[in-house]
Amino acid sequence: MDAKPRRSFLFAVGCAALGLSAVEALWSTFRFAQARVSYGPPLKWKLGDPKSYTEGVPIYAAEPRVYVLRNSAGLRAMSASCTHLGCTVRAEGEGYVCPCHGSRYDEEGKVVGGPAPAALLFYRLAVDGRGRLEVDLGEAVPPAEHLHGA
Amino acid sequence: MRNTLKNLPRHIYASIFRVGWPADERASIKAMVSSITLHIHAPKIRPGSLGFRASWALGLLSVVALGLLLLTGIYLMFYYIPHPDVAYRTMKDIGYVVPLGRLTRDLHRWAAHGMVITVTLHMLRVFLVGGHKPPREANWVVGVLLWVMTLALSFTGYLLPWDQLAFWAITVGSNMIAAVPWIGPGARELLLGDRIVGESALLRFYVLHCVAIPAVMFALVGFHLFRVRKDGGLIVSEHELPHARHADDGPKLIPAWPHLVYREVAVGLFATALLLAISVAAHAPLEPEADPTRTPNPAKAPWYFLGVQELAHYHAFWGGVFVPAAFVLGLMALPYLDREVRAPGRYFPRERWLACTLFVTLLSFFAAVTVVGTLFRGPGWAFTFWPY
Amino acid sequence: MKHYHHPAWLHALFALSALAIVALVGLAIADEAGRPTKLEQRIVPALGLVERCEQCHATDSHPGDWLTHHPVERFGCTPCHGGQGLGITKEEAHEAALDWERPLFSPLEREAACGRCHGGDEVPGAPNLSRGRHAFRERGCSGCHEVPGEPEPDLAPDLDGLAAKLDPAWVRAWLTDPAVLLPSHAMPRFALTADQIEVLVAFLFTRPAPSLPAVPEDSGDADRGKQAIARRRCATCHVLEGRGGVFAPSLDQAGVKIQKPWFFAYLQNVHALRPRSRMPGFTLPAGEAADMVAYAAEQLVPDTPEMPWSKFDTPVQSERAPEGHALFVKLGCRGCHRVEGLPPLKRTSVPLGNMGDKRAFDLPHQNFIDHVPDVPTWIHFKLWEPRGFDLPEAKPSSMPSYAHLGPDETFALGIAVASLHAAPLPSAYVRPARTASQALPAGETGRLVERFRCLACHRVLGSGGDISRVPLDGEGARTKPEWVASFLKEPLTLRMNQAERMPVLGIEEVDARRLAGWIDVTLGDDRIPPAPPPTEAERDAGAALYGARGCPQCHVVAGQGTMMKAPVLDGAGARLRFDYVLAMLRDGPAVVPARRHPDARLPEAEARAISAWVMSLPGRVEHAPAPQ
Repeated sequence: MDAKPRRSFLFAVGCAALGLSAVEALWSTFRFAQARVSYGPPLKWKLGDPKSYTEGVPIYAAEPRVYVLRNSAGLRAMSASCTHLGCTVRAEGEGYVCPCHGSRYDEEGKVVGGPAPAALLFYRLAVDGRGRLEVDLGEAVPPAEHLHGA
Repeated sequence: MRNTLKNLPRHIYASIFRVGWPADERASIKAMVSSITLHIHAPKIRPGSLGFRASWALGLLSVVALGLLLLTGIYLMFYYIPHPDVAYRTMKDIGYVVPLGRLTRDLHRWAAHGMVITVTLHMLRVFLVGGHKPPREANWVVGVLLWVMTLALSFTGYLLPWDQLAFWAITVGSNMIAAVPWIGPGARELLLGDRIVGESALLRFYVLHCVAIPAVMFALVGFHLFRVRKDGGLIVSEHELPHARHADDGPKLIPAWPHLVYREVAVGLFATALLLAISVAAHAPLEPEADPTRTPNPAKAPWYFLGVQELAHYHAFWGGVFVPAAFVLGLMALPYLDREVRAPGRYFPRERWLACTLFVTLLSFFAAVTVVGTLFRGPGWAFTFWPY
Repeated sequence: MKHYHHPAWLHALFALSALAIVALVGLAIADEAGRPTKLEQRIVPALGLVERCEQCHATDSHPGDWLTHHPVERFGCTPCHGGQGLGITKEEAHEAALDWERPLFSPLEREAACGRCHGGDEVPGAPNLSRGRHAFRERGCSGCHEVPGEPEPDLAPDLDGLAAKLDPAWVRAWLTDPAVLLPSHAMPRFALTADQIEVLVAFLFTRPAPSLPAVPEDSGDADRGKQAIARRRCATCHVLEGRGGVFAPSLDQAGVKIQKPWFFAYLQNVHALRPRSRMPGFTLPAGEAADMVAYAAEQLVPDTPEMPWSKFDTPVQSERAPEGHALFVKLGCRGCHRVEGLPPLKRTSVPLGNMGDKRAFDLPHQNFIDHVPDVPTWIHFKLWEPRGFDLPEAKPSSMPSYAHLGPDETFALGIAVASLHAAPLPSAYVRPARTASQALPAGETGRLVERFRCLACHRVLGSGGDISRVPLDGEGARTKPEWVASFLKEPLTLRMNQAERMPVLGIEEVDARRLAGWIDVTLGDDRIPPAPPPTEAERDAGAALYGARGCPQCHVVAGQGTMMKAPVLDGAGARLRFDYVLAMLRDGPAVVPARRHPDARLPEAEARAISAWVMSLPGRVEHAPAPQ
């Protein structure tokens, strides 16, 4: 190989590396922006003794903002956050009503009136190693999923 | 419609880069002049300026370091909180739970130390070739100011980790400031915002470090580079330094694009790679959280001030205040006191041997005193040999 | 570019630098890829904790029931376990590093951490801490070392009037080394020089001393004295002829140590000569006192013909008393011993209130090759050899050695001192020591309690001492006041295999009745409900059940019983209350205290029957003390 092509090769290698490092820089920036921890409120909340939740009565847990529902199939945790703009819904009659703009939900959390666009979310329930009920706000589950045996 | 779409990339490119990629000398000159970033260079330069030994790339390295510091500094600002209660925790979080956080912080710190060194050596180099002589007097003064700003940036940044090293170094440093007669204590309290290094000081130093001093710095750097060009570029003595070698004997001035720009890019990449390598190999230190009740013995100022602290040990005023102040003021006055107006462009020419020797000696003295302060001073500031 | 000629090195520099950057940043990205993207983090805002322990450790499998009382949501992990909560690898979290100097707690430090929140010297689940805190008080550490909240110790004898009480030679020998004179003692050896001892003796023996009448010649009989001592049960608190309690000074050399006039006067009115002593206010008749003095002169003397301290028998240099005064204050003797007229205590030793905040390597280490691992261990070493950490040229410390306590106690003390923190705690987390109840008697009854020093031995309603382990809380619900009064006058044991220990204090009838009345009214017990009185039918049924249920295995009735370990039940009706016996048999001793009774938990009918029968037993409770 004579002189000129070798030098152009090095230049090309350099340019490619530079381009690659630009991609790496972008990727690094993207990763850098996502810290591994969150300083916000926790996602998992303890809800006490599962036996204390009686059938047929939605019991409100203030900090995670969920209603704990027990029926014959088991326990569920339903979000109390209205899907419209996030106000806390109130249990009223058989269903729930949002005080902010009047959205209405039935007892399964489905929308039956008002501006809410979607049904209320359900979150995963579990019993921890010490027998306490725990809700995980990071895990949404379908409404049919119940916690059995608690 | 199809034509518009077909021409779209070229249209966008042409609207941004008004001149296409330069294919010959004329085009390269046009590109240099029309580009906002490239017109910092003269379109054509003397071949001698390309030589490494003309400048040792020290000015460039300083600017590259500054750019890296700006970039990594902005990244760090996304996580750092300048309050004593949480500052240390955010430093730890950057190291532990932020992806590539540790690399960013290390890079920031080593680039900072590197910049102090390259700026000082750059000042030495400029003096040795006579780059302070007319018409470059004002640029020299600006350069000295930039050197002081570099140290100020380093000093203000030193406090931010809020660990024992930071807290006590700044306590010692601010006490040295207080040693200045009449205005010293007032200046110290103004700087710290309080009688002691605390919440006020941290916030002030943060603002100074991230906004105030960088703003001034960038303005001055802009002026500095502008004047370099206006004052005629680098001092080069043609018959001393080798020409840029090329196959055909080219014209007396060569275009800055691509020769100068390519070299700058290459050296800049090299500096970045070197700093990255150092950051991967050696990690920036972090000591336990700042504890005002526990004074380390000895308590040392940041390393670039250890020379002053050593001098202050001999005499608080003459050593700690007078000598450093005289040095800085003397530097700034230098071009106006120099009788010889011709810049020979060579290092250590015979006709300047005294001046050069004196300057080198002075800098060596400060370097030596800094080394003593760093390595040979132990508890109680007693003289001790390594290991300490 | 095609027209320009660039040197090869420039291309190489460009390419290699760019490649290096790609490689190095790629290295960092690759390293990052191996780490989890989300970490478990627990924030406890009240304590300012940020912890990531649960990334690796599951709290559900924490041993014991610690987490029941200290849920992780409220306490986090690091207050009890130490380490760095912010760390995300094992090394970062557990080890000491340049930027984190408190690695995971050693077991000693862990126990000391309990004391961060829990005050007092009875911390559940922390036996060594409790023992150490108790020892701290018992050894009078706060006499020299200041600890916030700890009062000046009140353990050592007052030193007023020494010229009338003791022999200067004996005091010199004692100050040289207490262990040589009396093996069981609380005063440590201070390693004083002969000159220091001399001036101290000068100071102490020039203090004003009472002039006391001499003991009448031949007025005491040693044999009678021996019986009196046995009857009074002095050996409960004092060592006599090698045996006895260690709660009071040993009397083994009392015959030669204590001057007779003083001894004689003291026994006749203890509190007149030593108003602050823990010793009950005995006021023995002169004859008895003279007998005891005679006995002491004859028997309570060392075995050797010559006194061990005779070589110290030199005249007192009274002109050096001011030097002694200054030395007495400087050495800190004032911390344990009271002397009339001295200024208030000013402690000169290292205050200990923040020892828990220190790290082991903050403490002096010059003579040690390796670092002591934690603060409790450092304190243990310091107690054993106070000068062990000092450089040879350091000023000698006046701290005595406590090696005689044994390693268990010195480590316990180390844990106790390492539990002292100066940094404040949020008030919701503070668990102060149980404060003593205010329901202790006042007025005349209170004066009686003061005079007889009941609380020196007994713990009542949360305050008092632990010399007697008999629980008196609830005594009023268990026993009848007539019996309590008679016991107070003449304490007699109820068990055949045990000797009574309570000294015969010489309480008058009317005072005994007053005290018993107070006990009856005040020391009730919620766990003992009132019950209908027993019937004759139940009593008859109880006779057979008593045998059937195995009670005679332990209890003695009319001299009959198998193992005879439990109280004699003759005359129980005069001593005990029916409600108590019933509740104990029915509800079990876990509910109603009877310390060593097995958990019978009989059905109501049976319990009533047996109780009825027991209450009907004839006879007086009377047993002579068993021989020693």
